[in-house]
Amino acid sequence: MLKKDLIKEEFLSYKKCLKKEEKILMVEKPKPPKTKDLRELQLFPPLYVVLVDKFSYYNEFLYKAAILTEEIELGWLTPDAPILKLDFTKTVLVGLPFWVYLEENFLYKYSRRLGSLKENELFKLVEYVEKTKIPETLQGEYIRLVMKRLASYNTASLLEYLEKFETMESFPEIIQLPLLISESLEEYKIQKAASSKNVFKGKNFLAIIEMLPEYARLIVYLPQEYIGKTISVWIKRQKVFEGELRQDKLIFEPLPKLLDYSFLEEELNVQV
Amino acid sequence: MKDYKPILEKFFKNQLSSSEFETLLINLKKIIKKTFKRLFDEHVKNLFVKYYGSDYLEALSQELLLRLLHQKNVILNLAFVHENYLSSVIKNLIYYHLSSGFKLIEKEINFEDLFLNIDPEEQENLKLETTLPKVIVDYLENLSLTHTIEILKVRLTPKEIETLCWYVLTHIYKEKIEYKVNKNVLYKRWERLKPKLGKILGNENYEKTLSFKLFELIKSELCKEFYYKK
Repeated sequence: MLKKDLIKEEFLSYKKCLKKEEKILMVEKPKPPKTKDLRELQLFPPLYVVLVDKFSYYNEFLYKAAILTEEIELGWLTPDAPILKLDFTKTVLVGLPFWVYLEENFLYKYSRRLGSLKENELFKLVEYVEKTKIPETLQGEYIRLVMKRLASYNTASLLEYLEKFETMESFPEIIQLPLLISESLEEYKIQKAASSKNVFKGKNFLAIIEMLPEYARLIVYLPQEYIGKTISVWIKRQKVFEGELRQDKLIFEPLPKLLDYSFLEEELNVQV
Repeated sequence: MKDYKPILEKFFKNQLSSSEFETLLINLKKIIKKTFKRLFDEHVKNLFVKYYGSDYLEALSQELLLRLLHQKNVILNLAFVHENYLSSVIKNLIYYHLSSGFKLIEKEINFEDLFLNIDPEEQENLKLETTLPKVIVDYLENLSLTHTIEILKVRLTPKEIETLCWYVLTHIYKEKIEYKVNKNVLYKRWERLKPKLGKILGNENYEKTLSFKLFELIKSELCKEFYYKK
């Protein structure tokens, strides 16, 4: 047993280093982002991202990114935490268990490319992020602090919702879809996954497909100003929800598990 | 607290006189020494002495400057450079050497060449590692578990600690201990405590996957009272 709680000391020391108003800097020689890139966000203290996936919505690209940090004691949660060593700068990084979604243009301007990961390495990161829970200790608080540092760069503040500390989140409204709707979507099972898209943007919403072991569910993020208003949600011209919106997130389930949900871009409709 | 920004700024611009450079190195060596003392044991320090020689502080201070040089743009935009940040970079350097088995050692760095191009070389086909050397895993696990015990002391009520001890002592260690509280009540309390513990530990499956070390610590740090009362 160690005499002192060094995690506490390190956490307090890290907090002291943070600036009240954090500024992100532009890189001198920007390089376009690509999946598998390891990039350093121009923040202080620095944070690193590995781009694991790329989505398109409208004319923009969105990258799903895993976060890595130099703060080994605070970020290391389990013996299988992913570790990355950079020999040129003699730096060692540890992966954190949450995702952020960053726009291509943001990454191009504000992150420095440090290299790339081997193709088959990404799954290790994905697996770790998906399965690892954030503890309610100061290590967990550190991870939440990193989320907070990144929140303003995270597209559509998705972080707020995708983060895994569900204890902080009020219960989302879950709407059970009638069997008829679920069955009517079975026809898309034969569709090939051209883009395998599971994040998409409508005129007035952003939606994400979440894959659960048994089924999939649709998470719809709506503008905050809709809260308190009566809205209706339509899938394939059938009304699946009508009522006063209590929070800016609605969950619809169950949906059949498909390879590609891009048809929802056409078939999902939100009216105020 | 000393602000390292002015001296680092001069260093980045290659404007330090040799005596100023020496003073900077002396200060950095002090911070490195403090960092070793604060976080690592004598064994870790001895490893650095073994691979770098007795002037390991000199070599590490140069490596630290190299790291800072790579962060030049961000550092120059700060109003204040705190010693804590330098200490945090040193820690990372120490972890780097420990985790790579001291493969890359440069005892002297020629900064003159580096001032011209400070962009790090891009490394392609990087491999993730999921196993750190045992000595580091043990060390990090000890830090994390010591902290977890402190959190449990704060977050659990005396009744919950009693329940946890009952579970650990009777189910993990198979001790036969008489409790004042009825066994069924303890079972019920344990069922209620499980999800709370799962959330604190970030591990709902902790009964199966947790390191035995945590149970040892719970036993020695939280259950002394129950253990010796038997």
